[in-house]
Amino acid sequence: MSDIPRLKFHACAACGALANTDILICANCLGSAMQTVEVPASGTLVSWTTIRKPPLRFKAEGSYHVGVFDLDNGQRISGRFLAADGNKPGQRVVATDTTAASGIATFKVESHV
Amino acid sequence: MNTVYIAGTGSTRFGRHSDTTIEALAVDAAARAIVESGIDRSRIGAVYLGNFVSGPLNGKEVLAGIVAERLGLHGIPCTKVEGACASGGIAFRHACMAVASGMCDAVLVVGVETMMHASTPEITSALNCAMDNENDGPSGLTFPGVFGLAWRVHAEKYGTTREDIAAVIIKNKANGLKNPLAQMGADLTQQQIASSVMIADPLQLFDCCPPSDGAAAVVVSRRELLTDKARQQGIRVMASAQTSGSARISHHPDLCSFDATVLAAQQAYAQSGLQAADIDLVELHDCFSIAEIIDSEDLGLVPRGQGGHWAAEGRTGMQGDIVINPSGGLLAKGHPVGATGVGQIYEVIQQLRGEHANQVKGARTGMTHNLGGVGVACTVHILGADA
Repeated sequence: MSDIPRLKFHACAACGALANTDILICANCLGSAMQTVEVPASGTLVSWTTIRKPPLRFKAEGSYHVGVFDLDNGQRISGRFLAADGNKPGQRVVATDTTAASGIATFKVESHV
Repeated sequence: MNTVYIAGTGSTRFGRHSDTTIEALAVDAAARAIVESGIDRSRIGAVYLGNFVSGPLNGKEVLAGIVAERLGLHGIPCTKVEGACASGGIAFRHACMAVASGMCDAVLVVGVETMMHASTPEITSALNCAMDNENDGPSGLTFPGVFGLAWRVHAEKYGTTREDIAAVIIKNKANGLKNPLAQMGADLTQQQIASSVMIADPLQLFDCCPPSDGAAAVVVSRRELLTDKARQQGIRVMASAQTSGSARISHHPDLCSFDATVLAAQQAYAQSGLQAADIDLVELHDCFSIAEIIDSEDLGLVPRGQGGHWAAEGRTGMQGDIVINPSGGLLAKGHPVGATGVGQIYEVIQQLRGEHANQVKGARTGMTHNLGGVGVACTVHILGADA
């Protein structure tokens, strides 16, 4: 498990609630002591789509895949997806890139994680 | 609380209005509504104007005040309401609250948008303002993408097929042909739909509603202010529900259900004392074909997972168990985003008056459902005729 990439989450020091947004106040208890934690970037594929008509900001990319993933820590997140023929909801996924400046991770199907 | 009645209505055609400004479109619809209401303008206590992207696409804000001035309404509170594609429905709800509370005798509500002068990437970018842009936005997700994600889950869970989903488009486009206000009615085949270009897989071109220009307006009032004709029609607001949900796709536990819709429908049924089976027609938020299927299930009109099958079996058509989108819906009537919610109310009123060009026979109760963003805002209204 040690070679699985990690994703940055934010945890409330008071109640432990997790968020993958960089928030100052915990939505669960309104506590203000948020800490950064790292969680394994592995989970399952919920769904994906291919964006063929991007907004201006991503127009240069042409088309790309966006997915929704259920991480093994119970959190659901959206991100980029390296889609391949035969992909199905429920397949195991792992992040290939967690360092994008936008904070968005890219996932791919990987049956052995 | 005062019962809220429909006093007057007005609408432009939805579609391209290249030579008309956004202000002029709104004034056109609003003036018709005021004149039809027969209510002296001094009795109108407030204006609520639904609009979503006049800032990014037109560089224009404070439209409520500008439109009111051009209607000769001076000094009254004029509020622009923004809740993404639910802006119009929210504006209508605020007008209802103002009359129900007794704060106003009559209120003008207008929904307006102009989009067709802009390019597709510009429109996509403007609409993307309604995402959670600290989370989903940076992934490059778009609204067609949201419904592409939903489609795949619906297909996996319930066996919904391309043909089932196309049945929604064929029905709504056919209804649109009968609605003189509709932008894009059509007589489409399964094959034409299945061979159209991909937009956000598996979503294709005909699965998407067209961007549009248009305006719709309604005057609501206490019963005492109604004309004899409007009093005889007795069309009143039986339920007005507004809810919220997460703006983030990843905070939706079921990608093919919107909590905000489920909650708003529950509240609307409770307020009206009606059940789904009592509703004669529904104008719901079919921004995409798959959205109609999801909405019909979330509103309790169709059993969970059966939306696609009901569409394919004709059970949501003009002669079906529940008539959905007799106007053509957003898919055929067009989606001038801030106007849509008021346009849905306009459509239901014409049905309850028995004056719609695509009339649902004997319609006595009608529902509207207006959804914004990734389900971040929702309104559900139920209107009924007294008699």
